[in-house]
Amino acid sequence: MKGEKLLEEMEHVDPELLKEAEGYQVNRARQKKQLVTIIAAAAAVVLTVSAVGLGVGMNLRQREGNGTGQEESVSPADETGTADGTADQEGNESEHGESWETRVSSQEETLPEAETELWREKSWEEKTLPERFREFDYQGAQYSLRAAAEASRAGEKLADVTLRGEDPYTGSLYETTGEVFRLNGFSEKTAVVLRFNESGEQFVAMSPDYRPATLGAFLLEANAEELITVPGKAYYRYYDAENRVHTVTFEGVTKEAVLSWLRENAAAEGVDFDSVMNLPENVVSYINCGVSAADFERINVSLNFTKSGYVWTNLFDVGLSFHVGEEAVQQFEQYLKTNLQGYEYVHEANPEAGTTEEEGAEPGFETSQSEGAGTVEE
Amino acid sequence: MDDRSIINLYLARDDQAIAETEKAYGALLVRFSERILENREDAEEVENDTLIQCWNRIPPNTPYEYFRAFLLKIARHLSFDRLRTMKAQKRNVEIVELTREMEECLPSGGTTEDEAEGNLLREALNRWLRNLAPDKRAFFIRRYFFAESIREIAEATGAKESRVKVTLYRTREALRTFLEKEGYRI
Repeated sequence: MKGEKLLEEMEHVDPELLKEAEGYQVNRARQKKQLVTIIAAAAAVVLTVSAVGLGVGMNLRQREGNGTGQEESVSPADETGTADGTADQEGNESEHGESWETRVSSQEETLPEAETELWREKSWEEKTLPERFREFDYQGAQYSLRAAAEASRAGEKLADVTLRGEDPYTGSLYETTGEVFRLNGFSEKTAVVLRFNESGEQFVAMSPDYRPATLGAFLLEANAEELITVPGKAYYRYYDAENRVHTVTFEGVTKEAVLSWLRENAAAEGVDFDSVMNLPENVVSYINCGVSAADFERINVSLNFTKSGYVWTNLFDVGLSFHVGEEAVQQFEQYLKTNLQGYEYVHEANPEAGTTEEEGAEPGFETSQSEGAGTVEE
Repeated sequence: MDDRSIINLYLARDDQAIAETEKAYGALLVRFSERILENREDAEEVENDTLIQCWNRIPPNTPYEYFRAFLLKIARHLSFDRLRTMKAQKRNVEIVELTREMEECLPSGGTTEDEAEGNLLREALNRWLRNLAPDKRAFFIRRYFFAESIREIAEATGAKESRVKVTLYRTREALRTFLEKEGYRI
């Protein structure tokens, strides 16, 4: 099942719950009461952001030294864990004159036994300190606790704050106090360290209100070089003549390649995310590159590229978007196509019928057949 | 005309029921469908189809207490049906984003989609929603049933956008944990 299916399943939500959701209003009085008084506020640090010197010159057409070259063929068993390792050696020539082998994947897997205990939100007593107090306000912005932070990551102290938590079952409000420190390497607009006075535990706290002016500002303020890791996969989506969607998986995407592309486009202006979402229909992500930010507990989220020249990421919960231009996006597409091995899962509805041909598929990508619909990568 | 009277018209097979439904809920249905489809004409067709389906479903259904939700559920289903048949490139980007967000809720693992489908999942989702705190539940449903943007949710509920974002993030995490515990590995 994919996200789309789960989204569609939401149609079966109990009507009573729909009715309740439509009428829900936060308690404004309580919200006001929860405003945090900042006892000490540090002076804001203005970061000078410059696109110049952010490192240009990456030759996106240069092959990565990661072993995905054209002469290298990958064993189906190595790649997919197929028991017998058999593969249809179906030639598939790309537009670059490279040849690919076809892989066959098997997706049989044993499910763990379902736990019968009902899921429920923990009571106040069951929650740990950071589970009780997960958000706080600092300098007019909200911050949200994420990964635990080692002591060495805290820089100078910025403020004392009061955190308030609410028992979801009784509605009772509780308070505790903490200290806010700079997260070394990061602008405080992006993330800080919160240390609980009660326990001494400290956590990275990121701000979902953060809105960088440019991609370059994001690289600096969010300390992207440290923050981002690149698990290595990117998905390129295209449509065939019959308007069927195909997704080609590229493996071996490197952090350096992603960062270099980001640096090259550092001048790209930040765009309101909701505005990007409301742009005409051509703004559909057609490249999705996996990125992670462990500090923010965002693992294998994405850096998305749209045909109309936008790049957006959900590293900050909902989205940051930048206008980089169509050419820049095409440049990343070319990087994938030229430097990395691409393959495509093909859903085979009836394995008995033999090899599935992907009619109208864009040439140049290996096709992998899957016997389970859940294996079709999107 | 109130909901009960409209439903009684349906039960009496009086086609004035459709006119009254359109009068009371037509604009809402078009607005709701348009949010999913981003196309006024399609949304108006969905509205018409919703009214026809409503006529076909009452009776046997008698949604006296939840007529509005009943209509919205039909309209949502029809909108997603239509979305599926639309040119893929023209898919509403908001829905693409909602889909991606929902993927965050899916435990990793890999199995066939059938295992996660059907009544069990539906029942589980409702059970999970019922155990959420009211604010989480409201934000989640507004986002993933009504396909509202963060801004729209914030405006409608009086919450700050950042609170909506963070709450949705936590709720998606909770759903992922729940699905894992329920044995869904998707």
